[in-house]
Amino acid sequence: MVQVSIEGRDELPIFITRSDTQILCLCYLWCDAEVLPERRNELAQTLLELNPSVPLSAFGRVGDRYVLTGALALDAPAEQVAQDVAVLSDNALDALDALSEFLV
Amino acid sequence: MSVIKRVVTLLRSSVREIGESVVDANATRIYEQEIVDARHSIEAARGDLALVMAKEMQSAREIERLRQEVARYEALAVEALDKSQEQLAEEVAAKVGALEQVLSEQSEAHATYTVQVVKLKDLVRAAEQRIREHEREIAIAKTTESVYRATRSISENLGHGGSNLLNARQSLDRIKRRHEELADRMTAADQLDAEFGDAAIERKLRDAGIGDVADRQRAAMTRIRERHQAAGPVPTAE
Repeated sequence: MVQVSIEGRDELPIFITRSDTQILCLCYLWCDAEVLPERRNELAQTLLELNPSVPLSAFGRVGDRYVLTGALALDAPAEQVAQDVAVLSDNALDALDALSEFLV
Repeated sequence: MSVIKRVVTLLRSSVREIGESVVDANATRIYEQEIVDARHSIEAARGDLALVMAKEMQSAREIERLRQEVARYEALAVEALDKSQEQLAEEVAAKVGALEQVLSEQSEAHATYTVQVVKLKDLVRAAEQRIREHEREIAIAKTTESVYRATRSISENLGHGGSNLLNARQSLDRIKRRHEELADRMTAADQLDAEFGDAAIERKLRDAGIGDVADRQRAAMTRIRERHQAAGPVPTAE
């Protein structure tokens, strides 16, 4: 696994990992404990509705963490991985900004 | 059970196990073996298919040839009758009968080949479909596992290094503040440049009517005045 930090956004590192079938870029957004309990369902609904509009990335949950992920083919060239990481970081920052009303 | 269903079931039970056990190693091996088998059967079916299609084409050509022969002999039999050669016409009719027998056998063979071609193509398609299914299932399983493994190792690393994981709001605030600082610095740099830099000198020169811009304006005004005077006191339309 590789951890990528973008200058000025060290708090939002991107993790790159690979399985046998794809390269996966992950950005951890927040965890369950940070979500306002009374707005949890509303947040889930919003994320689902938002998902198709987010370019190249998808919202998800891993364990108790909310994540933004981007997937690439195993033979993707380095420039494409770099682009995915950059887009993921932009999307993550946008998402944090847009959805912070759901967080404590 | 499909892999997605299995993942859903696991998510509802114990998330901790997901890292290892979306599809146990044994099931993955079975899928992989099935993919290998399906690939072999596709290869074999493709070989058979080429052979049967060749035979199908051959028999189509043979049928065409036989039909032409039948037509030719029938025409000859008619000619024989025209010339009152009953005996000869009978012999030719026998030949036509024999040809038609062969034609009917060829047609049957041709139909069988056609059916075989369809069957083999179906077989290849089904095997390809099976490969795609299994590959997708293995992909889902392995991706799920790698995501959960990654998360676990990140959590463990962060755990060891003390809690340097900020909550989302703190992260956002910090990043925003940094962006604002950067924007402020850039604005300040612009202001400094306006006051002391090259831009400031250019602006002062312009204000004092010195330099290119001021000259151009003066020259244009002079030209306009000259035209105005040349046109006389009452301007006429050209």
